[in-house]
Amino acid sequence: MAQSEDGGLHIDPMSQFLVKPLFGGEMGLFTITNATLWMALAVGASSLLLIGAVKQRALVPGRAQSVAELLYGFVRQLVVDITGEEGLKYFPYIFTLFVFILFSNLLGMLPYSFAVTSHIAVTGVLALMVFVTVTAIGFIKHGAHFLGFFWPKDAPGPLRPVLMVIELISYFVRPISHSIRLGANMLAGHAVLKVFAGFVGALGVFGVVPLAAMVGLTAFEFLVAVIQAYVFAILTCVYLNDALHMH
Amino acid sequence: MPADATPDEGGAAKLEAIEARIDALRAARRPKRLGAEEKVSAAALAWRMTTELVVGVGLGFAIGWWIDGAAGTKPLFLLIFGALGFAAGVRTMLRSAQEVSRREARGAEQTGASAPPARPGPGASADGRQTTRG
Repeated sequence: MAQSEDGGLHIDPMSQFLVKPLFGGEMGLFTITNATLWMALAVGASSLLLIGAVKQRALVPGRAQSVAELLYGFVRQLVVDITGEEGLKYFPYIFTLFVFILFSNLLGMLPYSFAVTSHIAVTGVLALMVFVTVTAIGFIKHGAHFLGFFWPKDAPGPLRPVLMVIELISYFVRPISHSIRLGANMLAGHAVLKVFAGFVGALGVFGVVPLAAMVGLTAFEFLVAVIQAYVFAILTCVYLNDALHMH
Repeated sequence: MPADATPDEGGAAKLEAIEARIDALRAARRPKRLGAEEKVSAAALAWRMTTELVVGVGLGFAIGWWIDGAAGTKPLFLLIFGALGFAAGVRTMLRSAQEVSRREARGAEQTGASAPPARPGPGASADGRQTTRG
C-alpha cells in the first residue's frame, strides 16, 4: 500500500481493466488474454462446485454439496416465481448464466484478478444472447402473433403507430440496459476501490480513513457482485416470461 | 419396523398417514415466494428503472442521430426520436414496475396473509395494481 515514493497521488483506477495477452505477442482475434483466463477460471470453479461437489450424491449433503444444492434450488425457485412452470424448460440456460456471472463477479474480487464482467463486451454478448434467444422463443411459440407484442390494441387508432415505435424502442432498450447495468456496476465498483486504495498511499498516517472506507466498500462490492448476478438472472426470466406469455 | 407391519388395516392406515405426510411435504416444497430478498430487490429495482430510462433516452437520440445523418435533416429526427426514446424509457420503467407488482400479487395469493409487510418505493404502485386487479 505504501506506493507513494514520489509523494504524489498514485491513482490509476482504469489500468486494472486492460486486456492483455497472457503469453505476450500481438493481440489477435483468438489471442489468449487475461480475460480468457479469468472466464475459464469462472467456468472451472463453477464446474468444480456443481459437478465435483455433487458427485457423491450424499443424501445428507456436505458443505460443498449444500452450497451447490442451495444455488440450484434458489435459481429454480426464481424461474418458477417469474415464468411459472413453463419456464422450467429454460432453467438450465438461466442457471448457467447466473452461475457464470456470479463466479466471474466473485473471482473479480480477488486481489490481482481480472473482473471479466466489468467489460461491456462480455456483458453485452451475454445480454445479446438472451435477447436473441428470447425473441426466437417468442416467435417460435407465437409465430407472427408475437408481433402483436408491439401493437397497442387498446390505444386509440391514430396513436397506434407512434406507440408502436415507442414499444419497439423500448424492446431494444432491454438488451442494452441489461448489459450496461452489470458492466457499469462492476466497472464502477472496482474503479472506486482503486481510487480509495490510491488515497491510502498518499495520505500517510491518515490513510487509515480511506482504508476503513475500503473495508466497507469491499464488503459492499461482494454484495453487488451477488446482487448483479441475481438481477441479471431475474431480468432474463422476466424477458423470457414476456416471450412465453406475451404480457 | 416389522412388528407394526403385520396387522393389515393398521398397515393400510399407516400407509395413508405416510402418504398424507408426503403430500404435505410436497406442498411445503412447492415453489413459493421468498421474503428475504425484499429490501435488496427494491434497491435493484430502483437501479434497473434508472438504467432503463437513461438507456431509452440514449437509444432514442442515437436512432435520431443516425436517421439525421442518413437523411441530412440535422436536428429534426434527433428531437423526434429523443422524445420517443424518452417515452420508451418511461414505458420500460412502467413495465418493470407493473411486472414486479404482478409478481407481488401472485406471491400474496400464494402465501396468503404472510405477504411481506412494508416495502419502500415500488410497494405503493404494487398496492395500486392489486386493487385494480381484485
